[in-house]
Amino acid sequence: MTAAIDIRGVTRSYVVKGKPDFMALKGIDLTIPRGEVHALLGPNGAGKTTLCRILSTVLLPTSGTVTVLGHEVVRDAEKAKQCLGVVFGGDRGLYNRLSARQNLNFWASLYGLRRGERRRRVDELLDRMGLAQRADERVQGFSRGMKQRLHLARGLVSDPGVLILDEPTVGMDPVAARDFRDLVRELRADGRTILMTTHDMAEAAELSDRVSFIDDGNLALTESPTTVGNIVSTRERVDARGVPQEVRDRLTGLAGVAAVSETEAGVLRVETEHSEATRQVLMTIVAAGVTDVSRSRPSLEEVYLHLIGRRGMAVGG
Amino acid sequence: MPGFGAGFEFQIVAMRGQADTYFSLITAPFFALVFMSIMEYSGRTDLNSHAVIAPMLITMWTAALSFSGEMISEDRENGRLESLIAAPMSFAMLLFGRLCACMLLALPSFLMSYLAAGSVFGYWLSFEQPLLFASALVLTAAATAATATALSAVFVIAPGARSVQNTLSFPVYLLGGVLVPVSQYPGWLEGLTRIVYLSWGADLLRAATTPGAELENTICYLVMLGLLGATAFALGRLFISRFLQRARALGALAKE
Repeated sequence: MTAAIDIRGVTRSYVVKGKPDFMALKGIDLTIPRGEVHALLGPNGAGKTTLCRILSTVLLPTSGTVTVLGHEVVRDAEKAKQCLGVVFGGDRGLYNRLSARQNLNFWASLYGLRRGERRRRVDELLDRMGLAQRADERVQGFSRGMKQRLHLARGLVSDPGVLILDEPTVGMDPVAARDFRDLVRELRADGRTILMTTHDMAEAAELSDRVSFIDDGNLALTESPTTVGNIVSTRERVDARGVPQEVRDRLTGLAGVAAVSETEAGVLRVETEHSEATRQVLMTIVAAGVTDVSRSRPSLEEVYLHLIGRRGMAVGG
Repeated sequence: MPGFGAGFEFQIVAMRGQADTYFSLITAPFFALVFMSIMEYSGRTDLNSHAVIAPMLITMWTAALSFSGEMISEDRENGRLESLIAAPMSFAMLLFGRLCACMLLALPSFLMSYLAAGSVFGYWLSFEQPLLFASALVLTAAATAATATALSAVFVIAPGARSVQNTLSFPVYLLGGVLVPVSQYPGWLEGLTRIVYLSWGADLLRAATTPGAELENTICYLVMLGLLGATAFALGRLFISRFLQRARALGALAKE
């Protein structure tokens, strides 16, 4: 069966006056099977949005090919567009002087929905997004989260097989974000393929079948959230509070202990290379009378930081 | 015509809620009164129909200039252009549909001019050839929208062109024979006016509303009006296609 999204050797460069061309994408290869929810993770400027724009046909790749449900997005753009729903990030992109219903009606008409079908679809989406009560109010009075939900409704208006979501939960309050996650699960159950970019690691871990890390225009890794954790760290980890200094020193010297550090929250973190070392660490800590101890594997966020590096506020490129 | 219906319907909804859309209508009855005064004072009451038709044509062209200058740039500045281009329809047809809806403003403009001339000067325009009037009106509106489609692409490809947007009014009124028939112009100028669609449309509308007025070949006028409109639309499609191709290549569809 044809993949939902197939990206082969895609590069994208931008001309910058007086400087060498800026390479936003440096040869991306990625295949997303039908029905998969795929999260694209990476820092600002990594190339996530550039990739989404190429997929949605509004930006041409410098080289390489991209197909959506078998349709090449440059040569066969019109057919590719019919399979795609696109939600660009941010709260812009709507007609603020029109109501939510009028906005959706317009977007539905762009996808060729006939009047009766359009009315039914718009009502259904307004209801699904929790906007039915304010459907006839002007969008300019909406909160950022409500606008974001309206954007999502817009992306779904054509009932697309492939949905591209660029930072879909930016600006949503926690309740709306939780509802959004439920919605993504429903969409997956419908058999839709979803590619979403996000900075929210918990969201990516919770929703995605696979995640891809993109940094500086390169795809660093594509795996399931669980597998990624295992690949990056075969290490185990012991966290403990109130560990005396002399015990800390002893832990550092134990065989199989890879690192001892203190987190920002003041928790002592011991990383071990194998289970036997973990057992020794636990015994040492407990023997010192410390009871606030836990053992865990790295979260997706830590994997992200491990792969991308602790870049802080700096953008890629 | 994918995109046309969507654009037409959308623009009607959008204009309904915006008071500033109707500003151009305020001037129509005043233009009618000024033109009627000139005709009456100069004793050329045989040209009264010109005074009533002209404000409608002026409203059409004003709307065309105003909306064509804003449509693409507003969508781009408000982050909507990418989503519009990502939709599976012809963007040129969408624009054309929107601009055709803007031409509907000519109808209240005409009504107000008609009422102003009738109530103040006692001149009630007669529809001598209603079918010709309706055909000429529809074709003139479509040709104006087509020309505006081409202009909208020009304004976005060459932002500097917007600075001359306001200066395009009177040359077009003159070359289009909006008030004075182009047959009254010096011979060399008349030839130039015949490449302006409005000159054919204005002659047709006046012929349909002036008692005893006959054009030599009405069908030829209708065909020329249609051809010039179609040419403008073809140019508009070409310009828009070029603009979109360039913007997709440069990544310039969105304006941050």
